[in-house]
Amino acid sequence: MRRGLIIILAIILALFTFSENEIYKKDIRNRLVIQGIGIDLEEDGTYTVTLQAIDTNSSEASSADGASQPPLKSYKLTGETVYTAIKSVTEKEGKIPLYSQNRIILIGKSITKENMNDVIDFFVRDVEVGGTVYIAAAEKTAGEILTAKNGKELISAQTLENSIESYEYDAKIFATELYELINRYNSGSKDFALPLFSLQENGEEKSAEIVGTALFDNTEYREVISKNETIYLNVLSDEVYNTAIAFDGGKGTKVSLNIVKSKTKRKVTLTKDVPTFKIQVYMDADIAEISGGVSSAMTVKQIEEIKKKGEEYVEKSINATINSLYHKHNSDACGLGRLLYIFEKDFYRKNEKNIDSVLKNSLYEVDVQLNIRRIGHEYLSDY
Amino acid sequence: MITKGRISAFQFYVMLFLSRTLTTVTYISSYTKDVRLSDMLVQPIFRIIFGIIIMIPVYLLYKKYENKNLIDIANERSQGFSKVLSIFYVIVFFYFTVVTIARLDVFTGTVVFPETNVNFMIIFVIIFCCYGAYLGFEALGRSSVLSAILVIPAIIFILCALANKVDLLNLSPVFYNGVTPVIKTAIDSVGQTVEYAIIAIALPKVSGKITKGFFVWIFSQTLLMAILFFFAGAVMGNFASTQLFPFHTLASLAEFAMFDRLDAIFTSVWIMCAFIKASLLIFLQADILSKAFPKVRKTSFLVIIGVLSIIANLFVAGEIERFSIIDNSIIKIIVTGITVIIIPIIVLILQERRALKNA
Amino acid sequence: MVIFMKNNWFQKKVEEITMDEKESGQKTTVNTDLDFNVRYFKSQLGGSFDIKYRNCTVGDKNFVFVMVDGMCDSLLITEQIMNPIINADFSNVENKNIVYDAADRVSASIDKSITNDLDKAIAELISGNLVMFADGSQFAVLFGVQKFPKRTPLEPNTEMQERGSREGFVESFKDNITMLRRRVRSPVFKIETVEVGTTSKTRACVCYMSDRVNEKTLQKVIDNLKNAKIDTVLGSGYLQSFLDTPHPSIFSGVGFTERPDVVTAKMAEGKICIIVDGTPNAIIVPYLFIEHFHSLDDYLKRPYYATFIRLLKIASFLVSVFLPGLYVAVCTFHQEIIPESMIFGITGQESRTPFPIMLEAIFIHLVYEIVREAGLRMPKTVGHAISIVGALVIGESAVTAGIVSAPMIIVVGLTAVSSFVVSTLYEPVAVLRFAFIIIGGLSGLYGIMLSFAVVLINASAINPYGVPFTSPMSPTKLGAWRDFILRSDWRKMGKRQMLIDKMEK
Repeated sequence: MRRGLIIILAIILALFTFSENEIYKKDIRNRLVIQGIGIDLEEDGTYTVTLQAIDTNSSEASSADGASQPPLKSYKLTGETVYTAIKSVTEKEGKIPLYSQNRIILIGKSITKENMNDVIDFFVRDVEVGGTVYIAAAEKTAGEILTAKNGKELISAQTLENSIESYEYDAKIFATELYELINRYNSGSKDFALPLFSLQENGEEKSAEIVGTALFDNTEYREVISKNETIYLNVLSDEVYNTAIAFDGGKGTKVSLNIVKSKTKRKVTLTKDVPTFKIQVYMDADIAEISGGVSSAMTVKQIEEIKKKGEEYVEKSINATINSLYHKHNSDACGLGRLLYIFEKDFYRKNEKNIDSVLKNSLYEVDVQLNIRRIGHEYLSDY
Repeated sequence: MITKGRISAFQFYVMLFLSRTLTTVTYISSYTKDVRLSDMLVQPIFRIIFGIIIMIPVYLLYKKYENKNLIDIANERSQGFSKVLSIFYVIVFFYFTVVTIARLDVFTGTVVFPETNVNFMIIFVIIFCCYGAYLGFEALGRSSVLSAILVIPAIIFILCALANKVDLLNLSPVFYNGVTPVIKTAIDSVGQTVEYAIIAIALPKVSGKITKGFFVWIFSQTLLMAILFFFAGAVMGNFASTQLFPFHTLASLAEFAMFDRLDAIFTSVWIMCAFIKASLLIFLQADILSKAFPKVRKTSFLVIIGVLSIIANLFVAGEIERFSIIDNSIIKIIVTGITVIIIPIIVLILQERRALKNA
Repeated sequence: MVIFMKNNWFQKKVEEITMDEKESGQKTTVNTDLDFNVRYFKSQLGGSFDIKYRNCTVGDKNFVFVMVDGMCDSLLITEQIMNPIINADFSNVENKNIVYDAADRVSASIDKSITNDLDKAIAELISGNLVMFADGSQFAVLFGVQKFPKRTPLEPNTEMQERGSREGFVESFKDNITMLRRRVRSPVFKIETVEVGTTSKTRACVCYMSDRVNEKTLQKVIDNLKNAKIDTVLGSGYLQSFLDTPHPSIFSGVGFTERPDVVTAKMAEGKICIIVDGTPNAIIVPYLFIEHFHSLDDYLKRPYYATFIRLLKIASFLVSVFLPGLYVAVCTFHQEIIPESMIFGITGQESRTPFPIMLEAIFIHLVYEIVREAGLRMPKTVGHAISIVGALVIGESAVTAGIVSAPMIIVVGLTAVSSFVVSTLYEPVAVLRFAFIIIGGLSGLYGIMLSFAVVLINASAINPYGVPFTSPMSPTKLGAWRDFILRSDWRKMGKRQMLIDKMEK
């Protein structure tokens, strides 16, 4: 009797749960899998959100570049806030957006450091949005990139993501994930940097390429540094995994090095209330190419010379980047200000409000040590 | 009850480890200017010291009356006194049960099912926990060890997957706003630890090296806390302060092979710990009540506690303000202080006076 | 006369029977009148054609032999019993002593006993014994001459081993005991016989090794069998409920095996095995959870491989229980877990099916269970047809028609294969699988983990005969870990036999 009552109760509870219909709402068939989100701020204060989502209604995808990719569809949505704009896609598709598979968030030119907080608040609050989604800036509007077609196919968010992920092989890209952005945004200077996408047109063929790094240091507008400067921005941030550099090797040669490992040690000391940042860079590199130069065996002396030239070149480039960041653009995108916060907290507390000028007037000592590991298949001579 | 009797000290402290791990991993970050995440790395040291100090009265009672808990000792003095103590401890454990399940509700409603009514989940959780309590202390002890085999490797796995995201510069300077906020946080953390009160009551059911086990427990769970806070700070930095459940967010940042997020593993860990903790608390309530009122069956007490828990949690559920009222750290500090420090001292003093009188 | 007075065997038997009489009370005793005995038999057994009555007169002595045709060895009866009796000289033997003279001096049979209880004689008759009455005697002699159709011991289909013996139990408990005796040539191997089933009176042999068994456990097992209120026992499974713990659980603290080598190994660990007449499955008590992942092959192969196989079995078990439920939970609630490279495939496939994923999973698993059950019960001649139909129905056609999705078929296939790796756990796995599908579909990972915690604590509460079901993991018995998941080398394991007693709490 008792067991029967328990079973009946369980069935009733289950029926109630069933009847709520909740189980069907979030079923994967009722979800619109979003791959890319582009956000632009209009002059009237509304947001235009461009969504790129997987189109499950179309047939199997063909691909322009040989790799298979799912069929995509783009939506242009407007709303007073980012969330209301995105949510309006439910009216068009009858499906609930699934943010967890989102690969990239593109920020249009109209969004600056000042209103960045309004834009990313939704992504911070929502549980589905992963903190590891890449965030990038568009040279003009995010909408134009996410709706652009390469032939018949949309330029996919996956392609954009792959471009950013190539930072592991090429330090010309300053990759930023959402949680890193929030971390920097909530730190003292609130300066941050994002990779900058630009739409390139070649007849009917369009492509989105990273043309540099956008610095968000000014509340009103943003500034851009070149890809070459981005390499050294990554060096300063200790975010170089693998990259290539080329420099004048002397005697009419151009040397290309493949940097396989790079480690940057950063220290700060205070001398008479003037911070001195000591930046030590250790690089392991392989000689990839020497053009216009050696056709016979390399000598140890030659390698030493290349090494010395390389160190000088890197040191010079880092100094140029520091100059560009702190003196020209007034940006602490590489996060050196954080060193002050951690190691000289009293000084930082005293100068928190004018940290930008402190960093501008600080001293920077750069020391580079380059280690040539391999020289390729060229054989080495003792002479 | 299905099983009666004692469990080993190992099983008992594993149970308490999981129970405290739940509180740690569901740490709710309330961003204040005073305490930075890096300070949370240091507060465990103070926590250990405070934890050991507040357990001294219980330790003295244990040394003197090895097979008895506070209530048994009070019973020697007077039945009325022991009944009052029984009801008080039952209320304390009931409160912590409601808080545990309310936290589960907040977590579920925020993270797992943000758009779903989770009331039925609460009912099922409490029913399952009552069933766990019904099966007895031994079953709880054994299943704790088995759960720990899943929970600990899961946590280690998540942390290993985060290793490449650690950046020491994300940590903030320690004692940025002085030592006082850190000590306050440590006291708050001790207040959140109902396990001290559980030790005071459940000791007669445990056999083995209890004192040694206590130290191993307190050091291990403090170490776990420190490691988790380290990773939260070193990986997320200021981002952690913006998240309601920073450790869940931390798990969602972990990547392994083709899996971009491991928060599902975190959810599993969390639920197993919640089940053990809630079942243990419900068991202790029923056990205390059945000893105080032996004429009533233990199963009846389980049913009553279950029903009351459901009512209480349904009342709290769905409104974040009600949750923040009951999940108040001041209430917890006061309750822990009374249950672990004041009452044991009173009982100790009364027993000493009685012993002197008899002598 | 003098000879018989000196016959101690008969004297002892009479004394035993007299003692039994005093204890048992009223019974229908053997009458000196032969006709009475035969009439009583016929009244109890009716006119069954297979009950044969053979009258025999030797001199002036009358005998009646009663047997069940088809259960007795006719050649043995003829050569060792009837021929010697027919050719014997009973002229100097008194009527009251005739039966024991015939049994003891004349017949050559070794297996014999006497009784003065007619009901007992009937019970023995229908167990395949030959009953002999003699006119004027108050006792009947029972000759053990059973010979009925039985199987040759073959390798059991459900417990195949690569290196182990190819013998399996058969229906005859005597043959089964013989197989065990051959493996344990030691006087420590003991057997207690208990009759179970008020009508069937099935013999259950409780086997154990006296130097290592727990006496309390043994007595409890025997008491449980004796107190089992059941009418007929047609298989060892009937007794499972009586031997298992009263705590309701999806797992059982009682194990089964068809292999005599496994029974021997379990007895060597101090466990008790019950051989039930008429069934080739032996019962093992107590049976721990981890033993479901052990097989005899583990002990016949290298330790590293045995460990690998055990880990594989555990993984297969987890896959068979959780995979469908996890798939349903992930697709319904936790799509963020799905890797980016797989999301399109799964979404696209699932979009084309009409059912919600939970119902799809339940449907396809039900179809699988139907096909599996049909494959088990059907005649072998049509087995091929079912396998083809099953593959067509569940396979390509269903996917092409859009009834189920391809990922779901993969999940079902993997689950099905995994569930047979640990076949002894198939029952709980099949039920738990459905439960987790429903729970996963209703409440996602949250519900699955909560239910898993409940199942875990339920299993932890099982205490078959004082031994925790989850031993040696919890409570932790480090000494037993040499044969837990990792299997130590025999040089280490052989030093000290692991006993189930050590795992008692």
